[in-house]
Amino acid sequence: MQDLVVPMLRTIAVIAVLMTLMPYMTWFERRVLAAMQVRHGPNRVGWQGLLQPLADGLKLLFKEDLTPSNSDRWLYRLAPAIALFAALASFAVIPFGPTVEIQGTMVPMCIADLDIGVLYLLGVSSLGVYALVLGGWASGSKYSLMGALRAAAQVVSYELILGLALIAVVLTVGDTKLSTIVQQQHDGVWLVFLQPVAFVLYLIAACAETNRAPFDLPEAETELVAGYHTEYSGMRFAMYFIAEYINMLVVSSLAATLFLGGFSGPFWPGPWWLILKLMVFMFLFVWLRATLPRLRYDQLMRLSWNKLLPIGLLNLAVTAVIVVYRSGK
Amino acid sequence: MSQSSIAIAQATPYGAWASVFVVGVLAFAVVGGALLVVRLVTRVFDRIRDNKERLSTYECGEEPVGSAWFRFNNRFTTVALAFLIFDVELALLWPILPRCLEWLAMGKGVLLFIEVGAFAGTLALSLMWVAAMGGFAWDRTVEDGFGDDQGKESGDD
Repeated sequence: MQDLVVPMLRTIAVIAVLMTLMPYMTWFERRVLAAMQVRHGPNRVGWQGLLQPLADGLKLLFKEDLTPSNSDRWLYRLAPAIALFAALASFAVIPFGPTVEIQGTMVPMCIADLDIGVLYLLGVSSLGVYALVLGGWASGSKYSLMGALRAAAQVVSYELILGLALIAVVLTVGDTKLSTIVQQQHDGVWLVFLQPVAFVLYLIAACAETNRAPFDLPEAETELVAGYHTEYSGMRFAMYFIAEYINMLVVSSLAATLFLGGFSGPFWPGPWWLILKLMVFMFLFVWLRATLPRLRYDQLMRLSWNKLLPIGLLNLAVTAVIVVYRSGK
Repeated sequence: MSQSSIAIAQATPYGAWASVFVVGVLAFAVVGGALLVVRLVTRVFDRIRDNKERLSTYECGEEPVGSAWFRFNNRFTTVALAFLIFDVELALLWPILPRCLEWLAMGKGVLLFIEVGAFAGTLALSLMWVAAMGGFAWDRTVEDGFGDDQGKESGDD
């Protein structure tokens, strides 16, 4: 029984933190974006607009739950649930602190420190593609279907880049367990210095994976209204929205874990360091959105297949040569 | 007593996978709960139910013309196939990596490099072939030799 209760409490805590952090990410994004565009952003509801996310959530909850008559009812209702499920489940393997002792029991600060942590993350996060495709297709709207097709092709293309970047990292460390990767960086140098190419590839792919600007073609509002969630309203729209932000949190914390030493750092406890490093990437996401215009679709595809994929393969080959050479000495 | 059971749970891979199962169940519960709340709230607060106009597809106020499930561009298929090739490559590389260290320790690093390199290189060749055939060129036209519907040489479409 104890085997299940402790992980369950840990999981509830993590999900609660994620669900609290997520609305404030929208606040953070709107405020930073506004500052970059010389505006104020939401600052009326509560001190500095801090209650704005709460108000937005309540508003969405009381919006009418529309199911268009043209849609495929069950798939239409299922798709946002898949999106949220995949986003929540993918956080399970991120370690956010060293093992601590609470009342005599050793509690690891990670929901599940799997041996194949990186692979688990790749697998679960790619479940999210189903949500986009099913939701777009089931809506029974042309905008949605086009958005879904674009999203599928884009996510699938950049998943390879992501995979290649991750494999290069794993090859350098020699382990797919995330806590080992953090430990090695704690003892040595951060992997961003050992794998700069993989780091850049990972960042680009992460933007594309989460459908963020400049890769937000699936939801290009000027041509596709809102892409795959054109027809969604109220809480179902909110579920896609929450999933997108939680995915951003997951890719940011994975970036921090793999390249910036994860939760390791002096003075503060682990979780604070992870959140600090994660915020660096969240800021980067917003900064990119404020700076770069959206790519054209052919540019997007060319960038992925003709440029990044060869670079990724080359980076992997060079890494392999170095690893083999150093083992021979 | 409780200490030992937790130590076991952390020491065996079964413990870690049990936590993943827990995550799955809880994520499922959160999502299910959200759906239930949506159901309840909309039951209580929705006043206007049968309104055909509001349930119609959003096309900026116009009547939707034709089915929404149209036939889409074939290039998506090419991308899907290319993705399959490389995803299989990645999936097959993952199990090799943890074994790398053992092989390197045995001094078989060069052999390992050649074997995996031959496998990855073959797939890289196929990538070059697809790219050369214009598989990833989205802005191609009939003039480039790629007819969309009734072109003479339709390439890999």
